[in-house]
Amino acid sequence: MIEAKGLSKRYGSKVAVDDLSFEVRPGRVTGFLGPNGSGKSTTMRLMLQLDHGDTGQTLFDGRPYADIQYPTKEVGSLLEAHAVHPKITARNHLRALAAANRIPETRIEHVFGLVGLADAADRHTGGFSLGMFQRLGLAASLLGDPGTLILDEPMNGLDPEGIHWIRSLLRQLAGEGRTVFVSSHLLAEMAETVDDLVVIGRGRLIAQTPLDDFVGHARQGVRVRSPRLEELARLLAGLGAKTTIGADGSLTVSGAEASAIGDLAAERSIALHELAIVSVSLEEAFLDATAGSREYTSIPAENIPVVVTEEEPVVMTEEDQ
Amino acid sequence: MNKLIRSEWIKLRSLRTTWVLAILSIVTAIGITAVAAGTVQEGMGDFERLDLLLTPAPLLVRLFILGLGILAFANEYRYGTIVPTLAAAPIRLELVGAKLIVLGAFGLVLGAIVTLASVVTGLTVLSLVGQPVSILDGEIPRAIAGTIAFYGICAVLGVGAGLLVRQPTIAIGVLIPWALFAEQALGSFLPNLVTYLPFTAGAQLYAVTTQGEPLDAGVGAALFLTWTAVVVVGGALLFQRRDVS
Repeated sequence: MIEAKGLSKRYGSKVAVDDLSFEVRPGRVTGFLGPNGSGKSTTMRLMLQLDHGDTGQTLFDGRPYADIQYPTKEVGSLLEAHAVHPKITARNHLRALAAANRIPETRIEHVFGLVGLADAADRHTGGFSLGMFQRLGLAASLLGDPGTLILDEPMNGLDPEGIHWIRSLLRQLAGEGRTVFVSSHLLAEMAETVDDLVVIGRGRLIAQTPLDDFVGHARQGVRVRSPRLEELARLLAGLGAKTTIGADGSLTVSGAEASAIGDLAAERSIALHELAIVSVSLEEAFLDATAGSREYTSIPAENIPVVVTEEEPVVMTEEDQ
Repeated sequence: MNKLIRSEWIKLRSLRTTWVLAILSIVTAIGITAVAAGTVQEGMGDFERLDLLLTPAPLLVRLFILGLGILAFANEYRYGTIVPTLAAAPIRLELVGAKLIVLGAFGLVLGAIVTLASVVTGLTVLSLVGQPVSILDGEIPRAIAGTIAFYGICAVLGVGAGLLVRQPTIAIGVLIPWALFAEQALGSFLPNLVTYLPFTAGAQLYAVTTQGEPLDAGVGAALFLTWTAVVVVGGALLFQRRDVS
């Protein structure tokens, strides 16, 4: 059980984390979501007392992190995957971390097996790929067999197979009753994995909710295809509906019924090639929830909403990030 | 604390840099002492001959040992390992203590080997050129102990400097030229001041005799330790207050 209470951190006049409170429950995977620059990493550093907050504190089963005698036996963390000396072997890196918390050396072999890095254990980490660094970082976080895990963007740089592997690992760890807190700036990456969500934007809490509720709150939408899409979009916007042109050339409309859109199109003699009711995706619900809180809002046209609908799941690719 | 000492020792011994600098220290000490002892002349007193055994090596070897100390913290910042290190050791002053103990002990042991190598090399060269000297005379045992202590303190000073500055290039770029020549260069403008600067004062530790020197060995040692303490305490206080990122 993690309780973050009123965390705040400012750098000069810039507020990075703003009175942030949330709880993370055991036995569940909790996704910590927010756009890039929304304060996720800062929050995690505050939780582990690596950075000094202006206010607030985080309790792990009732105690602040630095009060735990052998912290990595209770809270495993992966904050920066690259944080390894390039001239040290993976094994010696873990050896030093294990010794610092009196973790028996037998755990090292075990975690290497767990993350699939046994073959590279005696290599210098300088030649590691990003995926291998992530695996080594995960191995380090699991070293003390901790009941709580705090992972910052653990899927970054992993190939689809690696992402699949990490998803099942996180599910398994939560299934064993552990508290798993994992950050991401991509909801799509998390949607299949998490039970609960903590969503932040500009350092403030936007939502703390079970995943299903978050999706449930998402609105219905209407997908429209037409040769005169932009004209139609303008007309709909004039009626107060919200429209987005997707990567596939379709228009997603929210705030207007399908019948109203059809009538409007008929009135203006605009041909419709498609008019379909779709569930607004998780991704869009997330973008919606964090709209206005994003640090940088300029999105290249071709990357505008990747609309993941129920009928045709689109997997977000590296380029989309 | 023991657990952190063990952890820091694993880190230190796992890196090739540690052993490269250790071997460089020993080889340099042997080389420079052999050359210095070769300059021995008829009519030199015992003290002057003994000076040839002990005083040349520290001039260069201290750079390597300072470097070892500097890297202890500075490399943690350079490679970002300070994050997992602090996650495993959140009480920061304990971590500082562990690194000081490990590097200080390593500096002392390496210093003892370096000093032994210097003395043996020097004695061998002196007897080869037919100018032998006995090392049991006078202040020699004190000077040998002082030399070893000097190396240990250099390692500790390096740890403090690395903690204070965090970037290895800056820490090394400032401290090494300072130890190598900047302090002496300053001495030509301000001869009275330089006596009290760290490495000039610290040199009293390995001076065979302090007769004719401005400072007593004990006072020199105390000054060198004080400078080191200022750097270490300053670094530790900043470390306590700073964010890791």
